[in-house]
Amino acid sequence: MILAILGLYLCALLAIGFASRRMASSTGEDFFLAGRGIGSFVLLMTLFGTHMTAFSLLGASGEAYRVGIGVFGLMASASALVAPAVFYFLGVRLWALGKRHGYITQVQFFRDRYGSKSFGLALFVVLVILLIPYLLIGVKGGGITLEQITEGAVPEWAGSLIIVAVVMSYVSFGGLRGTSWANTFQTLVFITLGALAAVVILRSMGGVETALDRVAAQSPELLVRGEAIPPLKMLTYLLIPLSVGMFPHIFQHWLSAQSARTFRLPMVAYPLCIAAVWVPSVLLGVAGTADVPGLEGSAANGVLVRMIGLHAPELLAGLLTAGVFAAIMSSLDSQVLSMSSLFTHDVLRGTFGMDLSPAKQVLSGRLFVVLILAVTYGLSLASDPSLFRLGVWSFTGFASLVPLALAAVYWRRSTLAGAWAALLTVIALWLYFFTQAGDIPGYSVGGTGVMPVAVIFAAAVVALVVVSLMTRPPSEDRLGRFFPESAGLGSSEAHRISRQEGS
Amino acid sequence: MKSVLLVCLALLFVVHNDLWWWTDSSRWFGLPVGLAFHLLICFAAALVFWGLTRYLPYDPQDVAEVGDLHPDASAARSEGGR
Repeated sequence: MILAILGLYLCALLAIGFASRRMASSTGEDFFLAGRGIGSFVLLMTLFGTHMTAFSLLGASGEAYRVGIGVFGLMASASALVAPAVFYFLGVRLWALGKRHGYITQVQFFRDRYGSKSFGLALFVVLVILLIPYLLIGVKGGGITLEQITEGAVPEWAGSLIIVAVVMSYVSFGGLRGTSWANTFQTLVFITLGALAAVVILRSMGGVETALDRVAAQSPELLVRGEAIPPLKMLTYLLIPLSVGMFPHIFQHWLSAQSARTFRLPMVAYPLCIAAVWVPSVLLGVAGTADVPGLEGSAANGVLVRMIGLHAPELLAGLLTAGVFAAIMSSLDSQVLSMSSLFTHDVLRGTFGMDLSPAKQVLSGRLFVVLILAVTYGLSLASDPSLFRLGVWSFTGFASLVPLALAAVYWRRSTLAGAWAALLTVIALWLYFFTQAGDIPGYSVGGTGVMPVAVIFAAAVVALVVVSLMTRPPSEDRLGRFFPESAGLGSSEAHRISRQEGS
Repeated sequence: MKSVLLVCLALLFVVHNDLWWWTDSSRWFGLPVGLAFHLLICFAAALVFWGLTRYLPYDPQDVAEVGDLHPDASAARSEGGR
């Protein structure tokens, strides 16, 4: 039953990928950005699906099982505030600049803003290194989950291979349009199925209040934040969701938006979508302590699967498997496509100066999708489960780079030297903390609760500001391309003049 | 009005650190208060952003003009994905 439902689900995804190909034209902009024609609802679903991984179903319930209801405030409502704010203050501006100058990748923007190919190349290397563990977690996590749900009938290597093959098919066929359509379908699937699982299980337990009363009798500490989450951790964890501001895959989805108005629905509905996914996961995780006590370490992440086994029919287990796969693949597809885009535009064209025709850009994009997924699959087989600890470090790195993006779009005085200083500071401090504490779960600086991201972020800001102020400001010509409205003109007038100059 | 909304957004960030309910195990609407309050923060965030989207950083008309500077953007734009 489980495999039949999963098979149907994967066939539906492949059909969406093939259908999207029929609408494609053979230009790089169409393949990588869906012709900058994505509408509001698809943008919301694809941004949300890309941002939320299987962690929001399995990891969140596992964390709630271990730590309690405080996980919602720590991770979910923090993202509900930060992610739309990043869309508002960064996303729309970067979209406008991307549309104006024809950017397809994040690196193209930074290379142009600071006028340095070598800075662009360094940023490309950092982004790819931070993205690799994220890719591996998706592929390996999917294989492990399928193995658990089918009780070993489908081995991990086969589950991972299925994920890789399906994502490879619809991303290479449909490009960003296929990815966005598939993400829309997948996001609807995992939001619906997460809520359905919660309703069925909690009703079987006698309702939410009865389930929570049982938890209160056995483990009352799970219904408060208490000592499990120190206040300084709660405060500094707010910086982690800033990572959406530097994820290459989120950047690529921003650039695909049809207009500035397209961002309205994603900003408004994002907090509601987060609540819709995380509240059921957290409640089920906490309620699981009453039904399946004693799960230790990573075994706690299996609490949702066990609860379904206890309280729900096999049909729901099959649907949940599809939901978990949906959450995994809706992130993996965008990440792979953004990496393919980075290699095509920033390495082949930007670094090696290859003059690729639109058709060759698409071909290169497809080949890189295949290559990246093949390498990721190979690495996932060779890696051990400890790689899941890398997730928070990956987010820490991306979040710490956000001052670069903020300065690039808001601070005229920021310079190339300042950007280099910030980037090198992030690299040095990230490596320091990672080598010191990479294998310590729940590490905080000096045991204070302060997350390393707070230290790295603050140091990056200081480096950026101090070195920028010590070096010569960028030329007015360059600034005029990025800040036309502050050149003493109204924005419309400035755009009109620069358009005339361009022609 | 935009300033008021930005202040509201800043306040949401402040009250996100709800120290006053750190060890409170009472229930709101059947949920532990530490969970229900953060659920309310999600709803409030949606409301604030609903207001703020009326004041997007770029006026949509200006952005439409900006877009024209890149010739490939409008030429390659597709109806798909809407």
